[in-house]
Amino acid sequence: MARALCICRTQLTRLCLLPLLGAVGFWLLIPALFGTAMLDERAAALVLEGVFPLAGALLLTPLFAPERRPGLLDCVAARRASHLWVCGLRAAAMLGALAVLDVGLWLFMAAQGCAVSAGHLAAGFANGLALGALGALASALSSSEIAGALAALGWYTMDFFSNSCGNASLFLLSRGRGAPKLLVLAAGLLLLGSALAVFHRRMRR
Amino acid sequence: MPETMIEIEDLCQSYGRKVAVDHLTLHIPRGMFGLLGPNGAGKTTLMRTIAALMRCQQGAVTVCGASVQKPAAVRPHIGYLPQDFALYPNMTAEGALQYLGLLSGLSAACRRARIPALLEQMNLAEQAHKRVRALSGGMLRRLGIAQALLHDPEVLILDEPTAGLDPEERVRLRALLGELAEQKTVLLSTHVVGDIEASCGEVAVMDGGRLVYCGAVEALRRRAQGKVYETELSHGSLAAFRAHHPVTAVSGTGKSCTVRFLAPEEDPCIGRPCEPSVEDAYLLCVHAAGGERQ
Amino acid sequence: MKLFLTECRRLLHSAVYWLTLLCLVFFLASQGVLPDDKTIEEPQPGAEQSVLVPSNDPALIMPEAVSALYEGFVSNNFSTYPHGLIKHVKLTAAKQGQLAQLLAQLTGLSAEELLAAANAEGGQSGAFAVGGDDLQLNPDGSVTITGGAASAAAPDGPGSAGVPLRAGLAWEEFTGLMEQADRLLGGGSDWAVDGLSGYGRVPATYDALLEEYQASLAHDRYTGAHARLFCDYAVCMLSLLPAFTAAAFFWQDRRRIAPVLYTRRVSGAALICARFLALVALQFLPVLLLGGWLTVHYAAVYGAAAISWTAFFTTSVFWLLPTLLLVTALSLLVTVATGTPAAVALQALWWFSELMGGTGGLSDGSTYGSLLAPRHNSLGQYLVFQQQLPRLAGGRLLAAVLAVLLTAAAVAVFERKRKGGFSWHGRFASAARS
Repeated sequence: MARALCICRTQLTRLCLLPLLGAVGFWLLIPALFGTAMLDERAAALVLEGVFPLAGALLLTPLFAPERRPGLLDCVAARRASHLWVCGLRAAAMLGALAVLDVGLWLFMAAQGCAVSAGHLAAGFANGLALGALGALASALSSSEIAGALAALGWYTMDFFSNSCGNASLFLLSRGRGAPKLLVLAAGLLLLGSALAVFHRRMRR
Repeated sequence: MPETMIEIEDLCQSYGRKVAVDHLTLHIPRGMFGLLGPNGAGKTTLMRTIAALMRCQQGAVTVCGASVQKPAAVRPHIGYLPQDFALYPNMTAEGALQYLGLLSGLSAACRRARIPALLEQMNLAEQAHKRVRALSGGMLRRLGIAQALLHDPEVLILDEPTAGLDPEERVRLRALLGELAEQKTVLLSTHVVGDIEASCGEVAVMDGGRLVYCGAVEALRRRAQGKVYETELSHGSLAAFRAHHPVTAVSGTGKSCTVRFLAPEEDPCIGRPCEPSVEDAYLLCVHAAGGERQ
Repeated sequence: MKLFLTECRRLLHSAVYWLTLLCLVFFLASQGVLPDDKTIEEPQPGAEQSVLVPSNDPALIMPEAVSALYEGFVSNNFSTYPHGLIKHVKLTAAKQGQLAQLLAQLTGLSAEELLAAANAEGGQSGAFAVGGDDLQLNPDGSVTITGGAASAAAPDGPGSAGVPLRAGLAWEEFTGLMEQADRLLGGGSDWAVDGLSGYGRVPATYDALLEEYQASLAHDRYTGAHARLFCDYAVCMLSLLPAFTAAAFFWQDRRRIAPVLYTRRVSGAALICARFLALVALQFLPVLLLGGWLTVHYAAVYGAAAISWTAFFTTSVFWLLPTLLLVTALSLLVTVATGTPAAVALQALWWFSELMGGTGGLSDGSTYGSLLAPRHNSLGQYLVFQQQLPRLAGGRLLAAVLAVLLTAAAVAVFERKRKGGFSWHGRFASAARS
């Protein structure tokens, strides 16, 4: 456990510092740009469900970026700790950061009199996980973080413009449909697992 | 601890239709063992397979008794330096070793003791707080060896460790590896014959994914006895000469040059026989293997 | 030319390029423009009731704008677009008081009355109304309220749910007060002077619709209108996707490859321009191909002689190409300068602000003045398009000029890096060594 925490700390402070800073910077901009005071349910959902999850894409899409160089990947993969386990810890660290940012924004909005609920909190996290996981999977398949970002943004845009994803839509709450985000959360976990599996398989070909 | 540290039985590895390792059987004992071969011979594929970084498609490989099909069992026994070694550029040398030590399962106390000692041994103590991106090529290589030694493995797998080093660095590294080979198994892959000659007692020569020689370095050299000749030629006739004889070295300036060449089949009727070097023997081996393939 | 063709061949091997192409086609198909299921038909009498057009009539604008402001004041909930992104504004008590003062000057009611009405449940009891007969348009263009402030509330029509206008309120005074209200809300509100045209919309007349239809027929010849709508949707994607392709393409020249490139004989200008042109050409070609296909489709729908065979191509070049040039050039510059894919994040932020942005223009969602993605979100509307054409043309020209300047900057940065300067990694490395 101690070793795992130590590895997570290195991930956050060294290897994934740039995406983390990017996500925090984006998180700080949200109240300044969008206004988070005394919003009703749907307006609050637009912020937590529609805007905040892009931080998830920032955090998770570059999941495999630190070891993109083949020589570096071999060096790390030859260690006793399974690289799949290390990537899993990295993902957990990023999800932890996403959860902290989500809770922080939710509390801030609640303090500003917004009509936020547990559903909003879950929606922000589920969407962030789903978008980021799709980005990670695309980046694992294509070995390119840019392709990963394209996939994540592509899903976001398609859903935003077309409203054809049913209960798997990212924008359920902001469209006034109170369905739980279980499908999105499940999709996110599945995509993240797939991303890790694909990366590991390609590494051990 | 078995005397044969690495056992490879009928290994086959391929990338699609390209066969990288072709039915290779090899037993690597304790000490310094060289793996020689031209580019594309399959050395890196073999090394990555031994390091459990590639699945065994066919055959069996064991390291210190553990099968590479179970990477978790193999990793504690090996230290690996890849061909294009790299580390996280923003980390310091010490920070990178700390992180890799953590991944190798070393306790904090162990890392605190070992890392400064390793840096000292590799002559990197003064660079401990420098960022990896600021290190020179030679320093990076030494850092690469340091990370391979971190968890004190029984087997060191070094893929072209002297690539890109200047002659002085190369000599220093060979001496270091020689010291390490007294206690460990060091598998050294290279296409520079001088590295093998200087450091290894045993060598395996690969070409086209196959093993074309395995045995003592001296025995390899003796195989070329009576098959290496030298003659003087004008520069103008050199090209025509090369078409008929495999040339291993050309030296001299001015209008004529001294040409060292191989005559594997019969007396070439020109030139004088000379004492073969390991490089001559290696080239003879590879030339013969190439002829067989044709 | 050879270098350009080589770069084109390289780009065709890029997975990101094909992914962006797929995204573009998929998006256009999902928006129903491949092809458009709507067709242009001659308006029938009675159809005009469903179409609202701006009246530009102060007599209609003022009561509606004041009414909307009052509604926002009562609910204390405003949507504004101060930075191009939608922002929900809730005023503090002090600012509500200030807004009440402004409304008092607009309505003739006292601030206390207005605040009391706002605090009452739903604000229903504070409703007043004014009929259209009470408004008189003066020769100088100002509007005077001749009726009293109180009258019975009318359930329908403009201003019916709101408050009266103060008697003698002139247009200039009105716009000044609206501007103050906009500033109070942080800017970017519907009460900014250039947003007031969204109020006072009236049903179109049959004659106006017919005139619009005939103008469209004469000038658009059907495909011109469809081309504008196609470009409206295509620009949504072309203002983002090229950033990915350009960043991925240039990011390949990272630290290990860059020295190999820098020592070649080719000039920075030749290399950067060849790549830039390859990126633009290969990303614009599919748009032209889609335009060609749609032209053939509409020829079958409307008749080959009735359509304009060049409309899709000319509109795409005029509307989409400057956006493509601008996005590609900006991404190119950022990637060459930083050696990172930061261009993607930067462009995504700019694109996001356009996506979430307010209309900033016409109330049908069209935004002709946008530098990145001008919109024309309706089929037809030729006369409106003609009216806004100078604004649109200016924006497109500016985008194209900016693209050229950004590309020139990229060339300069590339040459500087080639000579060993302008390297962030180099600076850190030398600082670490010292």
